Formats: sequence, C-alpha cells, structure tokens
Amino acid sequence: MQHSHSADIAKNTVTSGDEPQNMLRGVVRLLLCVLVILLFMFGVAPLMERAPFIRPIVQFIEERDIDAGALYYTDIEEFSEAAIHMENTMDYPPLDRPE
Amino acid sequence: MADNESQVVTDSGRGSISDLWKKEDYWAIWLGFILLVVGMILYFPNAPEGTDKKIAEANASLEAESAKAPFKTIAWYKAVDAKKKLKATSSPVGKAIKKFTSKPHKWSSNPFNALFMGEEAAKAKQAKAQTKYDAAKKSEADALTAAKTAEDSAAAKNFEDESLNTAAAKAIGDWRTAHSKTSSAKKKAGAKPYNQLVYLIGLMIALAIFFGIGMLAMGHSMPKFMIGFLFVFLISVLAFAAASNSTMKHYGIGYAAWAIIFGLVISNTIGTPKWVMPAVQTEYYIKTGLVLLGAEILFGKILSIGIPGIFVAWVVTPTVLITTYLFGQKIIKIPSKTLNITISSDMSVCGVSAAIATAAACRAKKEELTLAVGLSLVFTSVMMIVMPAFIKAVGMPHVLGGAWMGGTIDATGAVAAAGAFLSDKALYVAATIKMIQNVLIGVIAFCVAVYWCAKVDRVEGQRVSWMEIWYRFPKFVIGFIAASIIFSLIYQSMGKDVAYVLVDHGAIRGLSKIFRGWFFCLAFASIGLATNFRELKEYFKGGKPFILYICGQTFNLILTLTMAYIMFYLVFPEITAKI
Repeated sequence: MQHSHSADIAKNTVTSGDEPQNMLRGVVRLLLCVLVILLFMFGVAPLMERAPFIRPIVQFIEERDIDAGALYYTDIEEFSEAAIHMENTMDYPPLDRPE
Repeated sequence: MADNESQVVTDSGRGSISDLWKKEDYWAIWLGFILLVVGMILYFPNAPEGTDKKIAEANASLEAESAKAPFKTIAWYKAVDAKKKLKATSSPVGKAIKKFTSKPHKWSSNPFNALFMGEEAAKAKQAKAQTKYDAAKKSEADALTAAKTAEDSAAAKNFEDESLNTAAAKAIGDWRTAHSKTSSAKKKAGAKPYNQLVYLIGLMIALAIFFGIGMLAMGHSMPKFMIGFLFVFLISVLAFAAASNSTMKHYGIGYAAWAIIFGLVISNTIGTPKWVMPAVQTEYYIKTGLVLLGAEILFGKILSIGIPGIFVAWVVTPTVLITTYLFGQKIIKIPSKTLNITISSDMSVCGVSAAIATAAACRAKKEELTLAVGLSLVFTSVMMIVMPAFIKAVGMPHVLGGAWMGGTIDATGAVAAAGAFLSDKALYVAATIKMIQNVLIGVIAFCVAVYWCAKVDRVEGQRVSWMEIWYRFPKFVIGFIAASIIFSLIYQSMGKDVAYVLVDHGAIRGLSKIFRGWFFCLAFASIGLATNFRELKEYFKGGKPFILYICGQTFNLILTLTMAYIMFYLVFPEITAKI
C-alpha cells in the first residue's frame, strides 16, 4: 500500500498551535459521530432486525452463535466442521448401490 | 496527479543486504515467521493423548460403515465427531494462549460485558441458557432414538429397500440438526466469569515491544512508537468490542469496518493526535498479518470437495476477477487501476481478506482498500439475507444453492450463516467452496504483484528486466507465499487427520490466526486514523466503484451458478450423490 504524504497526515493531526474553537468544534463533531453510531447500534439495527424477511436468519444466527463477520475460513468453527465432514465424505463415501 | 505517474518506478531500483534488517517488508517476514515457529514449537508436541489410536479407530469405523449402507450411518457420524474432538488447542498451553490473547467477548445490551463479567452475571447467564440446553439435549436424544429405529429398519432389509434407506437418511439428518443445536446451546450454558482487561493490557505491552523492535531496527524511535501504539491498540479493542455486539454479529459488521469507522471519526473530528502518528503504521501491520495469513493458505484444501470444487472456486473466480478488471478498465474506465483490481478481487474472491492481500500486493492507496471493504460489507449483508430466501423459494437443490452462495457471497462468516440457515448440507458445500476460494488468495496476491511490477509500474514502451521486477517486487509477498508452501508441505506430510489436530487446530487456530486478526485490526485502525474523509469521498464520484461491483457481482452470480450446475449435476453427479 502507498504511504500517505506527510501533508495529508498533517491535515488530520492536531498540533499545539490549534485554536481552542477548532478543538471545541472537533469535540462536538466527535460527540455527534458517537451519537450516530450508538443510534445505529442500539436503535436502527435492532429495529431492522424485526422486519419479517430478516428476522428468521437473525434468530438462526443468534441460536447457532455464528460469527457472520468472520474474515477467513480459520476464523469460524463452522468451516472446520464443514471441511472435516467433506473430507471424510470424499474419503469414506456411502456405499454405491448398482442400479 | 495521474495515478499511473505516482506508481511508476524508475530503472534505478537497487537493493542491498542491509534491506534485510532495515526494510519493513523484511521485518514483516521475520516477525511473522517468529510467530509461526513459536506456534509450531508450542503445538506440534502437544497432541491430545492417544491421538493416533483414536484416529485409527475412527477411520476403521468409517471404513466399515461406508461399506455397509448407501447413506451415512449414525456410527459414521460418531466416528467423524470423535476425530473432530482431537485438537492441540485443548492442551493447557492452548487454553493459556486463548485466555491471554482473547478479543472482547460477545455482548448484547451491556458493553462492559465485552471486557468483564462477574460471578453473579455468569451464573445468571448460565442458568438462562441451561433451560434451552436441557431442552436441546432432550430433542437430540429423541432424534437419535428415531434415527436408530429408522436405521435398524433399513438394516433389517439389508439396505435394499429404497424408501427405508431414504427414511433413515432423513432421520439421521434430523438428528444431526438437533446435534448442532445442542452444541450451540452447550456453549452458551458454559458461560464463565472473566476479566479481559488485565490480559488486554498485557497483550498491548507485548505487541508494542514486538513491533517496536522492528521499528527501532528501521531507524525509528521505539519509545515514541510504543506510546502511540497505546492509542492504536485502544481503537482496535473498541473495534473488536463493537464487532462483538450481538446485533452487529447478525449483520456481519466485523472488526475491519469498525476499526476504519472509529479511526475515521477520530481523524476527521478532533484530529489524530501527533503523538499517535509514529504508531500509525498500516503497511507494517498488514504485511506482518499477511505473512501469518500465508500459513493458513493450505493448498491441499482445494481437493476437499473434489474437481467440482476446483472448477467453481479456481476456474470461475479468476475468470470473474480478470473479466471484471478488464470491464473496469475498458468500459467503466475507473481512473485507478489499483482501486479496480482491489474491488474486483474483493468481489470475486472472498471479501475483505482478498482486498487486503491484493491492495498490499499492488500498493493500493488506503482509501481504495477502505472503499473496497465498505462495498463488500454492504452487499454481503444483503446477499446473506436474500440468497437463502431465493434458493428456498425456487426449490433449488441445497448442494447447488450452497455452491452458489459459497462462490458469490464475499464474507466468509456470512457464507456460514447463509449456508447453515438453508441446511447442514448447504453449509458444508458453501463453506468448502469458500474455503477453497480463500486458498486462492495466495496465487492472486502473487500474480497481481508480478503483473504490477512487470506491466503496470513502468513507462509505456519500457522493457522491464527480471532483476528490475525483483527489485520492485513487494518482498513481504515472498514471506506470504513461503509460509503457505511450508505449511502446505507440513500439512501433506502429516496426513489430513494428524494435520487437523496439530496444524488446523494447533499452530494456526491456536496462535497464528489469533495474532493475524489483531494485526489486521491494528492496520484498519491505522487506515482510519490517517484518512481524510474528503479524500475518501473523491473515490465515490460518478458511482463508478458501485457500478463495477454490481456488474462484476452479477456476472459472478450467473457464472458461478452455471458452473456449479454443470459440475455438480452434469459432469460429476456421483460426487453430489455422496454429499
């Protein structure tokens, strides 16, 4: 990945010479962002889950405790179970009856 | 500034022996390999007692049962269950590592539960879950009784009666579903008190020193790095805590998204404090994480579901990737090639992990990786809900539906959720296809790195020598590929069953993947902390990334379904019949 240019980083960093009003504005924006995040996490998202087309899969994920946000196959136990099941299915398949 | 100009490297690239201890790419390799070697030392001698004997007994049972009936019998499943229980991570050292490195715990309404749960609360949680666990155990016992009766009836007719065989297979399937529910209920009923804060402080100090040594060798101030690291680590902990919220888990909004969001919020409101910047080292954390990820890319896994799996995951995926990239270049005319390939990879392969590997290999900008991650997240949540519903509605066979979802839903976790929601059969196929796609990341990262060095990062008409390609090549990719090759060879030499115990559920799940998760989170936190939202907005202009994603994913959906149907139902129906 490309390293950020120092000018770009400087725009986002706080130096000791910043005006107090800038800091206050920044704090207000921060609090607003935190509020939006909390509203989403505790308000909007739980409400959306009650929609009839979303509720069944949500209940299922909760019951089975599946981590739907997992990034890679090693992060999730279901993949380990699936892999061992498949490998043993391929190695020890059920009897093939002649027709 | 034209994107191509910023990526052009002149002919004067040279390396020296001091690069080995002065360059970030090499430090990523040394640090990554230190952890991989530690994992092997800790876990390889720690197989559970009697592992070889238990594996042999289970395999003998599987051999006998597979020769008995035209369906998987109860004893067949119990033999696989016996193998599943053998894990090096269940050793005392495995449990200690898990405790010390654990991320914030799952929580619902009380965020403090992410880090702390007292004795009283744990007992209350246990009591609440115990009722459901007892009910699940009873259901499983009843289902097992019914399955035994059905299997005995089929056996009485020497497994020659089709209807009795079908009834037995169904009853056994119902028992397995009940068994899965019992396992989940058991985990919840096993709630214990914890105080993760102490361990997190210890982990923070350990990681600060771990990365700080490399920073010192590369000529940076170790104390300044360590001080800044406190903040970056704190953002990462908050990201894991947010991702552990039960509602966020339902939607699949993982730590990567939260780390970027929290970092962006800080950097675009109060501004990232200057003292934090020495620890905002996106590339350093990502490259080290990728070397660890290399060990999880086990080439033997691609045969898990036979040739159909290879075609769906390794033929369709690169086809979609290359086609989408060319479409993005020639038709949509995405200005940035690195953005194009990162989105194409993220959409066609396996979401965030593919985006990380590709972005690092082609040296994409952090804003481009952020955009790819964001797009993947939105569409993954939608597909996770819509696809199983569609498959059920049209009556698609679950092997086909599972393969379709595994090959198209980006996020690995979402594939598990969608697959399991449909059925265990769909889960097994979906998860296996996605796992095979995960393994493809190694090849893609290498090919992208070579292509970018040889073709993209050069002046038009300039011929690039092999030495020049070597100088430009992102060296951490060598560590990434080497880790993959070494672990794949170790896996093959041990044999699948022992490797499951010592590698899968030992060195990998017991150490390397834990730290890989932490390092990626640190990287995404760093991305957020160093990103100006105004710069990020520029990439959305014209909606080209959305158009690219939608067109590419549409093509992916059509091609994957077509290939899965051809492979599983026309060319290899005998493999489908076994599943």
